[in-house]
Amino acid sequence: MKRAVLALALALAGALATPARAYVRSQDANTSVCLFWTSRDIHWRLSEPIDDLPFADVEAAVKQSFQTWHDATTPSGAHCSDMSFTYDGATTRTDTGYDPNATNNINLVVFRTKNCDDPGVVPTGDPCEKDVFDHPFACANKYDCWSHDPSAVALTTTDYNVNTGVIVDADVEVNDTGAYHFTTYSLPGCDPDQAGSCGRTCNSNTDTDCIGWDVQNTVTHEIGHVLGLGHEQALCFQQDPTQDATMCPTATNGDTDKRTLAPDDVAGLCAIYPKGAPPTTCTPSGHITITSAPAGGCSSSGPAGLLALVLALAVVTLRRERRT
Amino acid sequence: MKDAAGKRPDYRCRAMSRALAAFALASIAAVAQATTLVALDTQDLVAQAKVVAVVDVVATRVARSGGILTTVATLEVVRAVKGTALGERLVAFSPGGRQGEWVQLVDGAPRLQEGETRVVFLEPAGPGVYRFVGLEQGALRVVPDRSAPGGFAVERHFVSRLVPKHSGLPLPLLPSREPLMPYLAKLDHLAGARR
Repeated sequence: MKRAVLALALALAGALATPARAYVRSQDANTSVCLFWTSRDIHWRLSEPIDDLPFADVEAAVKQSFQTWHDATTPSGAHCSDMSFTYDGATTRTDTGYDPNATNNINLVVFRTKNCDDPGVVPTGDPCEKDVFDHPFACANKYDCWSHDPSAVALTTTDYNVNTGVIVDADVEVNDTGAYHFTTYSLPGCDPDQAGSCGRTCNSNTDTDCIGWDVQNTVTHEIGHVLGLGHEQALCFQQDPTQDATMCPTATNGDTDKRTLAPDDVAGLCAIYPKGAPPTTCTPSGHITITSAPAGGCSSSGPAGLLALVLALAVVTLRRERRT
Repeated sequence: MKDAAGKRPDYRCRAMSRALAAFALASIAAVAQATTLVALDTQDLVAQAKVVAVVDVVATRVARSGGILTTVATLEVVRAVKGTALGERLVAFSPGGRQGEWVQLVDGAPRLQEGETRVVFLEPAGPGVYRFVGLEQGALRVVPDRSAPGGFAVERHFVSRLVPKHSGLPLPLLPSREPLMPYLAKLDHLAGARR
């Protein structure tokens, strides 16, 4: 009996573990609350101009990135989330972050085309420069320049309440200072999951009609962070890199497959923002949710929870057997 | 305690969730919080950093400038590798931080806490101020080494194979933990080779 129970548990565990759902929710480091928006309509704006790329092309690519999350469907074609996004148009504002005392905070996507450290970007003697000891990033907002580490391709800054996890603001900064050759190129009929079908990979920063660091690919990933998703590793580094999830942190020059969401990305979105139900909070693992949906009760977000249930049942059965 | 809809959660349900959560927590690997970064191997980190050291985080404060929060940390060198000396105090900053009930999270940036020990790779960011090379890649935690009682290890919380620097083959996956002393010897060797 003991062996049979174990065999059954292992068989079920194996069946449930493939494919694993591995999405990860962003959490506060101290309180472990998971991050989420209470609104189902996130407003955003795109900063203009962008010196080195046609603004209309970037705007179209970024809009499509948001649209991809809005259109997310499960493998069976169901819309499992009603999260939506509203583009409030281009803006000349370049300031990121969130000021709780201000009334004009916006969710911004901004391409930083200058490096704060480069000569002439920040005028010598500017107060923001003198203030570097206390406010190291003051010049970035004032002069629309990149002040982060140059090895970062893009950064998402998310502001939230530490007690509730409710997100109030999120901004995406793209390092378009020249370190990475961003492009918006696509061949007609391109399938982002088919390597090469959207165009060839750029060979240099001056190469044209090719895919370098793809704007849509990059921003679709960053929007996952905006929504409260962290990086997942379980579905990364697959033999076929085009099957990697959008929330996998790997990306390369010429990469387009993150333009489309993997089922695991959709599972993450729908776990946080289930259609017709309030957003879910979560326990420290980020995988188990207590929903306040009308049906109530417990729910787990995927096979990891089912796997746990199977093993827990196996343990209970073995203990009972031991007692008898 | 109520949920978002104002209902009290079912406590049996909560207990089950806790059990499942504990299992799931034990089952998953360390979670990375990061953004899109270029991966830097140890050689890159040593080459790019002006200062390499083991430091104690002796103080942190969070500064606000408009909507931007920055964590400014005072670090005391407990073992110098490059560009600094034992006992020296350094100031380094990292984007994001907490002020009151508001937290600004910048994915991939180190979240420093007082009392921590870290192996840091720093580059100048202004007069007397440093930033971390490669964001979280340049601030490795020093933790007890579970495989060697009494020993220590460096721990990576970021995904260690991120964006390959150049097109082509990805970088090899770095281990999430390495024993501290051999790691420091490697750093000494790399730093020495550049002197």
